[in-house]
Amino acid sequence: MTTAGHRGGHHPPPALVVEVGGPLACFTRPEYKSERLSYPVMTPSAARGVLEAIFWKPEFEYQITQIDVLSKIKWAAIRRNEVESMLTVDWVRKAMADTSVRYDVEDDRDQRNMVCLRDVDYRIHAQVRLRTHATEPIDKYRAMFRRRMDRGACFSQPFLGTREFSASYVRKLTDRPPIPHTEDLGVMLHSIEYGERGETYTWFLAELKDGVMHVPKEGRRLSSAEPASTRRDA
Amino acid sequence: MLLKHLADHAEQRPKLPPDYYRVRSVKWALQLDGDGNPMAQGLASLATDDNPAGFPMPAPYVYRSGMKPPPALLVDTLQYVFAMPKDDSLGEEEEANRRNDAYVALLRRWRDSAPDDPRAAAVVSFFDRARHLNITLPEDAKHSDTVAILLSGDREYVHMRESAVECWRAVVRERKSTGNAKGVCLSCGQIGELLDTIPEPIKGGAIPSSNGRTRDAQLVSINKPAQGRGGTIQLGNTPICDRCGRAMAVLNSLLADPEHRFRGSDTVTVWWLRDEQELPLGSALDRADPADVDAVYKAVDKANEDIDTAVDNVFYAVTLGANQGRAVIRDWIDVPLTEALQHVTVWFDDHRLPDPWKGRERVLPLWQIAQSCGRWDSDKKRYVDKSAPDATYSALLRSALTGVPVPVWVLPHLLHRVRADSRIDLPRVALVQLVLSRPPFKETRVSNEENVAVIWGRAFAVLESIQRRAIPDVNTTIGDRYLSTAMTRPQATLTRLFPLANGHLKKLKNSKQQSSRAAGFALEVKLKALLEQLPDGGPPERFELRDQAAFIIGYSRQGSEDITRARAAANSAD
Repeated sequence: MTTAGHRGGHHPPPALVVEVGGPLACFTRPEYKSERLSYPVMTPSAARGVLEAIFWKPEFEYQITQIDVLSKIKWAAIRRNEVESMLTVDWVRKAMADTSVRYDVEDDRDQRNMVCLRDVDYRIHAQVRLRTHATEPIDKYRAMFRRRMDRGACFSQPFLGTREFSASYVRKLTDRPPIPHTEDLGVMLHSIEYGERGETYTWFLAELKDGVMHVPKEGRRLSSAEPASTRRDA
Repeated sequence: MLLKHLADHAEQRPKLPPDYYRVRSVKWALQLDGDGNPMAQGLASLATDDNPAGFPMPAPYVYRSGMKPPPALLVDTLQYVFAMPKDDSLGEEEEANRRNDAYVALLRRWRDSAPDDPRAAAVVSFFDRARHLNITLPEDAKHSDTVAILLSGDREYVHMRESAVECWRAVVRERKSTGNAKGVCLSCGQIGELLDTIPEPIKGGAIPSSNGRTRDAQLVSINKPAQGRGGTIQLGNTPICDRCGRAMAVLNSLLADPEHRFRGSDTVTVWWLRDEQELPLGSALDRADPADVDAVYKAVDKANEDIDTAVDNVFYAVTLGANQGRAVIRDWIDVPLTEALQHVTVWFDDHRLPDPWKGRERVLPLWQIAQSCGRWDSDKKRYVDKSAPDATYSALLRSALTGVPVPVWVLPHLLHRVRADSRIDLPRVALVQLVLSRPPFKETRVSNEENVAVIWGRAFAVLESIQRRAIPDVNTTIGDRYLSTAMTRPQATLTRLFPLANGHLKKLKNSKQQSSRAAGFALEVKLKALLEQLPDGGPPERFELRDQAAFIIGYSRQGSEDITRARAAANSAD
């Protein structure tokens, strides 16, 4: 991790910059969740997940400002055996009450395809935003983040879209330029907000310009989107 | 973006059926006069020898399921239109009546929505008077046969009238949308009427299946909790507007167009351009007609000119497979047209071969190259159907469209087939040449000409020529018998063949025939010239994969040159 682009004055502090990569990644498009098809570029939501795996405190949140694509966009297809149902609180309660309840994965099989990315490398630019209840200065968290990065530490294994695709990050930034690729990426997931009524999603119109995707501060909530009632809430 | 690009393409797609219409085979026509009376007792058959299942025409269609599947407007099965039960059971009769009632109710809705359309009134009058229950159905009619309605004096069927199209559009939106809710579509980012499910599926049979069973498939299908975010099924968490839902009609249209689809054994690829233009890409790749191939090269030149004016077109292609009722996206290409066309021309350049029998260089159809990975039937003189691995065609197509290397499994498989069949032909040589010219090998024609294995391949071809010349009526040549071992263990094989060749050469050189003597000397010189290019120590003990491929190239190239030279000599003698 390092910082870049100090501007001084009332401008925000220089962005935290992290370079991550991995052999496989899948940032699933919402309309192709069954037979997964990835966005060609990491989503801000996934980037935030990577940073939070390295260092996170309830007193702040990350705001992703920019994602650079450092490796040529390459695709791969994988077919896997998955399951059709989700673990629900109801089922857990039932299993706890009745010890004869079993889950047989072979009865719940669902074969699904995934068109994912391979050999990905990204440079994530992010700002730290303090939450209202934070009492410490922002520099403290930035320094903590930097120390963890220097040690190569993380709270949990960072991943690239799905947990199976582990990410690794470099301790010393490279000077690799973004790839010369421009593409209209369409509506992209900006962030997921977890509320008492469930999840809500915000979106933005993404565009990759010469290998750089700029991320707006806030995503738009779809006018029709109500918080999704998850089965976990049941 | 796939849905958006497909929906955007709708305006450029000629002969696209109206919204939520699909080309269906209609077997029967009910003919009514202007007052809604039947023109003839019974139904007129639309089946012909060419179309035994019925006449194909656009007809209202939407995916329906459940215990009480709703009717389609005007064109539906005999079960809906005439209350024809599936069998004589009471339950089926009740179900047929229920479906017929729903069908007639839908007709009344159409009439009410179009009070100025006399044809709507005529059709509904026929059903209101229950005349449909008195129609004598032909003996060969089945409850699942489709029937359309034609009024006398009209050239088009009633369901093609504007009022019917409008009514059906409203009905489908009602059935498939979330209570007419409006919102931002995740696909196009615009505000539109959001759908509950995508109304139109991909037509059954449009996506091939390795087991031969095909049915309607949904491209956006979230019907299991694990498939949707937070366990939400259907489009609850994936708002898609009805305009983007129309993408399926475009996809079905592309799938039905032979020029825009590449059909493999278990996948199908369709392609289109952002700005439609004349481009015989399908026929150039799949039929390799020289005129079409030239057109692709010209299109590259034109696209390069367009780059200068910053109006570069975009090439889209999607490869689909089927997982029961779900369509699976196997690959998605979204690149500038220039880039795609350059990949295709590189594909042609990489496998272009001299065809000695036609006396010119040529490229080969993609399907032929893919088929050459299969088993050769020496009795029928052709490749056995479906003996090539399922993925071969789609893998080669991807390589042609995107410029990626041919998958690593292709070369060992192909070499295995060459050895097992003892057969090398143009498609197989073209594929070997393709593999060698791309990463990780990156051989050029010049560099592989100096390859030791190429020269040994040439030498093997000369040894075979010597044998043919010395024994013209030979049944089994050394190519038939020793190709497999010569390309894998050359030392053990070739050292055994050289003494035999010497014997043949001696026989030729001592022949009483002048032509045989000349041929003997010429072949000896040719063999010596090749052997002089090789390092000392004789053939290597074994050839690895890359060398085996190079051996094939050398063997084929020598044979091709010999034939070309012989034909030229024969022509000059004439």
